Amino acid sequence: MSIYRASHKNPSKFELYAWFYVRVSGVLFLLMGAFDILYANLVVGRGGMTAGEQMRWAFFPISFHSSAIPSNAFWQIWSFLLVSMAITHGMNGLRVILDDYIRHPLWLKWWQAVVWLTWAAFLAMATWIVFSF
Amino acid sequence: MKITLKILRFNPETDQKPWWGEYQVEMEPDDRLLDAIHQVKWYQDGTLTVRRSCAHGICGSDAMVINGRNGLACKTIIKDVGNKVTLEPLRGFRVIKDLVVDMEPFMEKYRSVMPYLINDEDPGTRERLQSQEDRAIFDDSTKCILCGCCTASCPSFWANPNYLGPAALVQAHRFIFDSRDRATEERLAAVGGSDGAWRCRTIFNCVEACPREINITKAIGEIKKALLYNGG
Repeated sequence: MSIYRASHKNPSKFELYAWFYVRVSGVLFLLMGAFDILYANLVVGRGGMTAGEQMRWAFFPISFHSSAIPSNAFWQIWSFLLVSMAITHGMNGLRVILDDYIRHPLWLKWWQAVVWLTWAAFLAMATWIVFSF
Repeated sequence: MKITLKILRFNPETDQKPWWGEYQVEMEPDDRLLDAIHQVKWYQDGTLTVRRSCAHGICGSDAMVINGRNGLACKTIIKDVGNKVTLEPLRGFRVIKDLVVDMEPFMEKYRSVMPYLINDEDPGTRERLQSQEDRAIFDDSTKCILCGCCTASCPSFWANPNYLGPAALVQAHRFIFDSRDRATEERLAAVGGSDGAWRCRTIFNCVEACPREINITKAIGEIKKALLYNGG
């Protein structure tokens, strides 16, 4: 005798990936920020950057945040990774909040489109800023 | 001691909207809240509708909102809730009458995770054995009595009634981590959608509400990890 099994089609893996991404990027974000602070204090040296410059440098290390460190390919790619990761992390949070609070399917689709477009616009801006300076 | 029960009443056949009924009863401090409700129903107002069966915290019938928190009336002692008690039906469910809510959508979700052992292998002439260590993995989940306190306390469920809810996820956990079960993939498919485990925002209301003290958020977290390790 076989047992009744409800049929469930395999769900989309998007939510799984989003959930995993948020956890990994959250940790990486802090580690990368810590690396930037350490770099500012150990390599640039004490007094090389003001506290405000250090904070800006920590989470967006580009040359016009500090004249103490010249722009190069490493910092451009590093900054791009850091900022694009943070933008994606934050916009995914907004996507989840919309999913929780907007009940009407059409409104939800509209706001989801706004989130995706905003995400793309922020990413384009970050790319332009990082690789132009 | 004299206690005042303030009960949210609603009869959809006669009432336009819910109203508060106030009742005073004489109780002993060690009596259960359910005894006080019986006092009202049996001696003051027979129209008060409440669901209860075993009255000993096992059947899970008399879940309700007690002073703003979900709990079982039969497991709540009068001295612990004071002499003024407000009672409301569970939130997020349709009220059938007074403190009785429609649990069918809840049970439908419960059924969707296939809450029974699935194993087509022939066990021969003896039972399917399991080590104590393997049994301990899902021990907490076996305590669920399907009272609905957790699901009715979950803001994710209030926001989206399509969410499976903590209770159905706990029941899925009970079989996903059972070494004798052979339907792990199907069960993970049942809970892996956007209205499944991923809608849990780790708010912990369910853990606080559970009268059986099940660590529900931990169980849901373990399901999420299982989904991750099984590739969704």
